[in-house]
Amino acid sequence: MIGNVIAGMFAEGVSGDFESIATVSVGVSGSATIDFSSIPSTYQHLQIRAIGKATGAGHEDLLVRVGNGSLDTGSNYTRHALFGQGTSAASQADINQSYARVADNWAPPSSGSIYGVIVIEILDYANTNKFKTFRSLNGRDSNGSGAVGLFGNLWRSTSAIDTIRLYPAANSFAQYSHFALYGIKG
Amino acid sequence: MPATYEPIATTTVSGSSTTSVTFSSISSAYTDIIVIFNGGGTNPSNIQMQLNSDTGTNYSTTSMYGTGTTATSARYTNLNLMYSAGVAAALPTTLSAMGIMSIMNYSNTTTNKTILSRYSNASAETTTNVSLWRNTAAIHTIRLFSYSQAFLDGSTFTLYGIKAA
Repeated sequence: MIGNVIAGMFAEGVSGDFESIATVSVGVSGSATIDFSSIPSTYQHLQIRAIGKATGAGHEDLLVRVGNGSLDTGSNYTRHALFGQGTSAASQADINQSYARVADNWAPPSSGSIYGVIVIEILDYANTNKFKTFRSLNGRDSNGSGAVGLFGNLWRSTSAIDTIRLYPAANSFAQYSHFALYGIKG
Repeated sequence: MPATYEPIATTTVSGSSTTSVTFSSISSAYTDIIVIFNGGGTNPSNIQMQLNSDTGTNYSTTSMYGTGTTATSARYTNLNLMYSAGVAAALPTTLSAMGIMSIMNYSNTTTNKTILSRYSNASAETTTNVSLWRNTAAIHTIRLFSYSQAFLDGSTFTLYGIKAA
């Protein structure tokens, strides 16, 4: 017996507790950064869902800076990471970084049609009493190489986040890279 | 504001002979689609996925999992299926496993398609996978199965769509 469902048969809308805030699609000339600014404080959490590829010849880490009004470039970011690279699982930590590293070797090189994928959640982003923690589930598979990771990053600031920048460690994001920001209501 | 995160379709396994679940004619109106599984199996392996009825060796998976004693990683290349949920152990024989499979930018026709998944079987493993389908076609059909074994009566599969601005 085969269970077969025609998509849309049971489609129905749900309440707007998960809302699209902004989306950026990278054009043919590429983009060095992806910026989300003037993010409203009306949600409980933020989620970024993205695919990306870099314009260079190697794989690029995916970095993030956040801020309130302007991006924090100080050494206020901390990271712990758990990742698997196909043979073993490993863990890393960074302290006092000037960015949050939300994925390692994430954006494949410009040749080919393979893109890294990531879901980032920024929890209680508008709270002014807490440091901000964001976690990411990220991965890239290239049929013989790649990695999958669970990363946690801390921004040591109690400021509400209204600005987010994503950028590759070098070079730019390539065409068809796509970044979508969502708000999750409490 | 219109709904952004919408249920598209759901199926609940009935009886003891359902060996696969297929979502077909999937609308291209979303940015990402997500399959959420909750259930178990009669004597199966993990959950595999094929897209658009492609049975060629165009799939690969990189996995990281913990079994309660060790954490490790594995890679599978040139498969005719992808490991979309779980790799280390069989599905439980109770309705206790869950998997969340995000199929990112599924409807574009320019990129290969990559799937991120998380899976938990509290009696055996917790796993996260990234899988690649080396094809730029828009995804319109998803088939989930566990080799030729049956899913447990009451197992559920729900397909959601996420829209972007």
